[in-house]
Amino acid sequence: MSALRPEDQARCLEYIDGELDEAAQLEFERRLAHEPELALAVEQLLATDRVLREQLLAPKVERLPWHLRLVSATAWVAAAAIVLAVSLWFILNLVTGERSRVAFVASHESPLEALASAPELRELRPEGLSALRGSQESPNISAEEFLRVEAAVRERQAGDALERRVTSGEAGFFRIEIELEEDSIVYVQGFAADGEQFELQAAPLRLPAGRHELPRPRFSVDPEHPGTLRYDRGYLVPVGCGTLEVFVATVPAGKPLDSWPTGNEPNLMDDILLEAGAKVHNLTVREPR
Amino acid sequence: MAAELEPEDGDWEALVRGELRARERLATFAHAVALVELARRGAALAAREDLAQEVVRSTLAFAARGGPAPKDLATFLKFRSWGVLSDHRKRQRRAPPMQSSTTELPGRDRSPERVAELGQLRGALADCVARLSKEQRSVVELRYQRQLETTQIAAELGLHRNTLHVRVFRALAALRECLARKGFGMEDLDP
Repeated sequence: MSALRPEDQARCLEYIDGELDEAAQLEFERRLAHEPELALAVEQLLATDRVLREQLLAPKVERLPWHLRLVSATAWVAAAAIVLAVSLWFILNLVTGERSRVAFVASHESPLEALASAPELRELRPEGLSALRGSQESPNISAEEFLRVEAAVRERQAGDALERRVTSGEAGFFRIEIELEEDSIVYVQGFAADGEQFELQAAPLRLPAGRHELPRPRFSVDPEHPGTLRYDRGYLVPVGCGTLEVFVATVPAGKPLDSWPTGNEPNLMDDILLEAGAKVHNLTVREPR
Repeated sequence: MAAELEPEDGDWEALVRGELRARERLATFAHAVALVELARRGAALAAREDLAQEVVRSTLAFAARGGPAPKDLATFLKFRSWGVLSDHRKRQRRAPPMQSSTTELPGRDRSPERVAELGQLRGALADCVARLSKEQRSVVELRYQRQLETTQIAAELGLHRNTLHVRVFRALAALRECLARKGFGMEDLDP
């Protein structure tokens, strides 16, 4: 597999993980300049490591107190629980009226794709993103003005998605538009077709009443680097999940949930959430093929 | 671009002797190589100049301390750029969670064809991960899916750090070979 000695293999890993101090790093880099085989191994490691981080992964659920652990031993049980939960919450919505609205919006891996997706943005070359569009093109709009235009486009798209109640779609990355009538705590969880649970939102979000874009606005000014526009590609649909069932649960800000039903007691979930006054929206995201 | 600025033979040793012209040529060359490499590696646009300066500073300091001349200076500077960028990203990861997931600007455009390729790549990658040995799959899952640090993974699996590093190295090599068999070469994995 590799002609490198095990100690060199370990050194390569330490190097790409940034675990070496500067002196050791420099010495290893000098070796790389002398040993093409070692340099190739590091290049290959970097490339594979990057692909794994970018293309494969979504954070899996840690054992946190607020888990939405709908999943039990088999995928069929999980699927049944999801269907049951959606049905019950749909009925509950009819009784209690809308306290929040949620819609699915497909997102894009790169800012260029995001710009190309809206006619109003297609020709814009904002400062801070201009280098992505080829050196022959100079910026034609300031970052601040671009953000104003983009916000208007986003507002229109969000309103449209919420009005049409878009709850499903095919995407590698996606965003969630949410409209809250009161200050709320929002939980976002995903379940693959095989019942595997994915933590889409690292922690519950405390959001004021109003309309929000989750996980966060797709374009914003990088606070660490003024003048540079930051792009957020949204939630990643885990590779190989097939279909991702997304649960967006909201509770009033003053009534945080102590815990969520575990996979061993799915039939208690509804009672617990009901007592806590939570509302759950379900979205379905199909992985592109 | 960088080739036109290539320093002269003996510049490294001249710099060690304190010659200013040699220092200037090396600095210019290092700066040019670093900017290209940092862009290729997807460093954020606004951070590139500072990072390139750090590449220059650390390279000149290494030479001035009497560090032996690299056989291939351009290769040395490319990896030096990676080393500096890696440190920078490590510092960023220590930022609050909402900041740390910020997407750095990609280093090049993604055409529709490239996006389609990436979709195929994701599928192939999932298949290759599934084909790893149980031991290799566990380190890949802990490292990438649960995003644990080396120390945490070593503790969880009861492995010495070096053993873990070797296992990760071999798992990544196996994944790369598997991807190659499915038609994804190094050029497809490049940033």
